[in-house]
Amino acid sequence: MPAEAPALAPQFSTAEQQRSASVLGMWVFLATEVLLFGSVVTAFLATRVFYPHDFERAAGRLNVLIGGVNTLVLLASSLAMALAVHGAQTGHRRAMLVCLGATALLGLAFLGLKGYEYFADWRDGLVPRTARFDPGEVNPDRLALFMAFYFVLTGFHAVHLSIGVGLVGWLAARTARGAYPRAGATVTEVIGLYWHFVDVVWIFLLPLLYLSGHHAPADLHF
Amino acid sequence: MTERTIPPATSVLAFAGLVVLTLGTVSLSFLRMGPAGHLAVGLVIGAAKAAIVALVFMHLIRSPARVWLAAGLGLFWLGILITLTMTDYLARPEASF
Repeated sequence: MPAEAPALAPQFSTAEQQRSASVLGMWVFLATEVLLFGSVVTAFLATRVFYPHDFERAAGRLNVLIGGVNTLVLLASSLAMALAVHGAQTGHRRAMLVCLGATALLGLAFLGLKGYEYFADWRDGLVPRTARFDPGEVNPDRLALFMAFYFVLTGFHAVHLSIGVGLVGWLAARTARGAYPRAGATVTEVIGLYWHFVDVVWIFLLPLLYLSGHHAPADLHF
Repeated sequence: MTERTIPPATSVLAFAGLVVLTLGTVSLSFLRMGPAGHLAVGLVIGAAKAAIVALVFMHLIRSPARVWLAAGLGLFWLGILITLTMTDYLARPEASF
């Protein structure tokens, strides 16, 4: 047993049992997160049943360039996180720190792009109840309904991502100060599971919100 | 102590697959497929991407049965929610997809 292995809590008989309990606990928590996002997604799908063409046109108004770029950013952050977990499990603290830093930076990049996208949505007349709201050929009430789902779903997601960035930053700080060389493998793995889950949520938000409508390549803009 | 980790090369390969699927799904949205078509294609590709993230990045492939159970139960619950809700709404006369 390496010297930096975490202390064994009294309810566990082996370190491996403690580790796998932590991992299982996070998976159970992620199942509850599925409840949260799943219910809003179900409401969205049920509503869409009544206005498929309006929702399709509304989806076509969203900025798929930023949405697509953000998807790639988040996928890259998941790769960085997976490599950080590997670094933690093999005891390579430096590699782990570099990868945690990359994860956090990519997460912040996503949030920055998202914030800019919200501004661009307002500028392009997609935010209901603002002076610039411009439904175009979509029924205004139904566009407003679609945009409400968009803001709630992406807003919930952004909050979860922010929490993830905080967790990764905390882990990086503690690792840099020497607290977690190989002992941090379980903590890193558990935070990694959370991070990948946030990525999976976005993987579904992209087709639900952006890609459920037709986009023209000529309409791609920042 | 299970130090069986996912090798970095596997993670990079998974990432490459995810990028390809993302570029593919966005490109497909440039076609005209109708509301149902867009949603179906997008969700199928999304499910494939989520499976890659879950199996490789989240280590499901290396995980014991109890972890598969926890993950599966969450998905199963969501399946019930979506299926029973949608069968209600889709059966209404004013509904369409």
